[in-house]
Amino acid sequence: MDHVIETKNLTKRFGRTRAVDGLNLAVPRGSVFAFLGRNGAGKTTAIRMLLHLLDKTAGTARVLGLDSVHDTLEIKRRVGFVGDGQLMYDWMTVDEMIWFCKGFYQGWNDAFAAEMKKRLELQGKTKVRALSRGQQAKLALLLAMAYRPELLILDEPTTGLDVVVRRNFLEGVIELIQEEGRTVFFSSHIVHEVERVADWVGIIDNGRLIRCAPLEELKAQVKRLVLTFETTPAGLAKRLPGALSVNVTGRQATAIVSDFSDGTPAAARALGSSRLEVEDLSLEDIFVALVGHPEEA
Amino acid sequence: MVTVRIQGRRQTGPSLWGRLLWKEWREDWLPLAIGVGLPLLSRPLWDQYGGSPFLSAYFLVICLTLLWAIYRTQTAITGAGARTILPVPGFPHWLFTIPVPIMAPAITGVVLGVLVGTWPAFQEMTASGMMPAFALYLMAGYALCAVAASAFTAFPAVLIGGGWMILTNPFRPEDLPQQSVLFALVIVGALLAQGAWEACSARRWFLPGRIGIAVALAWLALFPLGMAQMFHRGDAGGQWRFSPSPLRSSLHQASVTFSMAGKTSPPSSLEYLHNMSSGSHNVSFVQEHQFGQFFQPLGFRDATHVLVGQQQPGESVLHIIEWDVTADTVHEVITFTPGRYALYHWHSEVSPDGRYLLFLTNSSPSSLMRKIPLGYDLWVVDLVEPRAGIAAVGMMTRSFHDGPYDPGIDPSIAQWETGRCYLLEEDPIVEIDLTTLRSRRMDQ
Repeated sequence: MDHVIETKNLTKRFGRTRAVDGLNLAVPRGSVFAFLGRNGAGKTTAIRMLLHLLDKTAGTARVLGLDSVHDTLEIKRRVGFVGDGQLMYDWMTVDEMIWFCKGFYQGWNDAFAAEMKKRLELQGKTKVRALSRGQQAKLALLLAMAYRPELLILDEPTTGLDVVVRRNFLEGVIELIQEEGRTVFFSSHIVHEVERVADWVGIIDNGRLIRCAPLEELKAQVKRLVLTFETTPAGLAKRLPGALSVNVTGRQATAIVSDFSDGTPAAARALGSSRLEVEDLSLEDIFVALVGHPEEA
Repeated sequence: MVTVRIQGRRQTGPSLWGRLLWKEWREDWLPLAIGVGLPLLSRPLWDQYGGSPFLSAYFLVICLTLLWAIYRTQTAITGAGARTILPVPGFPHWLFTIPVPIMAPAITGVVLGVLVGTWPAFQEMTASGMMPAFALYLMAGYALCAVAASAFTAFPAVLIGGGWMILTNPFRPEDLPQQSVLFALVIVGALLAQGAWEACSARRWFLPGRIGIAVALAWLALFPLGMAQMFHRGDAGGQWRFSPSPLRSSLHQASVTFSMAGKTSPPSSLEYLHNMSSGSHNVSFVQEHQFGQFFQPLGFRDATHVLVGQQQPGESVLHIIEWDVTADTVHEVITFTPGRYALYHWHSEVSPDGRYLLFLTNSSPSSLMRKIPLGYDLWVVDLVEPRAGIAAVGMMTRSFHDGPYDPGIDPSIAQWETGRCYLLEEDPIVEIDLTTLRSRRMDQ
């Protein structure tokens, strides 16, 4: 499979803290890849290393087949990036900002930029400083997409936006970028909104990638099992293969398993379960089960 | 406007360079206007309220230059946030970090150099000499500050840029042309350092880059420290720095001017000219005398006797010489050591009876290590006994803040009475006891 982002043991330490710890990531070309993690999990640090905005401590990172350290200028030319709270020249108007940034990219498409400006309802004469946070995010998106990047990296692009704007933004991005089969790599901790747009998911926790799979595959693997026993079961968490969490109430147990397969019902029966119900989980439930601490997720 | 074909599509509009220049102009015009306007704006205010108008404007321009360097550098094309994502190649980035923005302080310096001659205290300075000197001075400060702000943060940039500008030139515009080569070297050094820093940044070699720049700045610190030491040593030598000022007297209808062997030669002799009207006839008497070097006419003892101060380089004593212009002879009235530190002749005045010489000198402001108070030293010389004494130190004489006393006719700051002399323009009035050669303020 062709990958637009590949990291091997990518590590970043801040003093004794490992912000990113041996990250091995592969993002397939043409995918909408959601990079999920709790606040402080290491998402932004990893992205900044991909673009060489931050120095790595160890490991390698390649973006579009280019080395993130030595080919940083070329990567910046071919990758669109929208970061959280993106700073722009606030004294420029929207049109001036578009005109100024155009000079840096050979592939800038005026017609596409004009269309995006109309679609995102941006007023050309408005100063950047007068734009709302949502409008600034839209302008950043326009600037990142108008040169038709092969890869669009969005780092928490919707933080601080209200629900409606957030939803429109994400759907708009995906719609725009997927029209030409380009790749979108975006980080978020608002998991339920990601589910509607992503087809690949990578989950990072404490700087380590704990899961990376197509969304459908992930949803097929992580299931909630409702098991009914003749008597109250004991030690189920250790005995049930792949159990992420087990909650026992009388004779009934609810478990979430990380690697559901055809053999799982047989394994449940072997544990003494007389009845097994298998339920699908939302991505948010899967995320909570994988990274734990549901009250914080 | 240029039209280029990129990936099969026509792209019309200014190039990347054009865009960067446009952005530069949009960001720089306001500080440039402020820098150019400050001397003009501050002048009427200071003229109205007193003080030193040019040096105030000069100080404000320096502050503006430093602050602008820091702000401009930290918001440069690859500053914080998303700006870092713009694919700006190393050379344009370097170019638009210092070499292009430095044009604003350069233009400000040129304008300041043109304006300096319009202030009475600096009339002798020529615009052609001061324009490049001011420009280089401000450019050097800007460049240093920009490098420090790039590699470190705003606070060290303020310390480095401000410290260097103040240490190398403690508000003495007249010394700037002599330091032009140093300023040019600093600019070149800063440009090279910025280039090295760009290269280090591109490879994320931040720590080695910062260490390198810190070491370079430490070496640079030797310049101002060395200069301060040099001034200090010069001061300790007691050399009197003359500011050649002619002397005129309406009372004696005479004047004493310098004459030079050539246009570029230092003055080597004094020319005495006495004009006397007799009916419809004007009678002139001209006398010239060679004094060698480093001398200054201090005043008329009477119509035909001129007092001259002289001190050769390296000498710690000051010679007060009386020149009898009729006989064209000179004799030394008194020699004394005016102080351990360099002195500037600021004002001198002879009592009407020709017995006392009063002169104000200014200690060298160059050395940070000097130990005498700021302000002017008041010397009184009894030419008859003869003896000399320092009557007061650290006088913040309002009358002389604007520079050396204008070599006008009959300059006078003193009211002479028997055994006493009063400096009436002082607040409070200063009384000098001519017997003890001591002074006191009249509020004491």
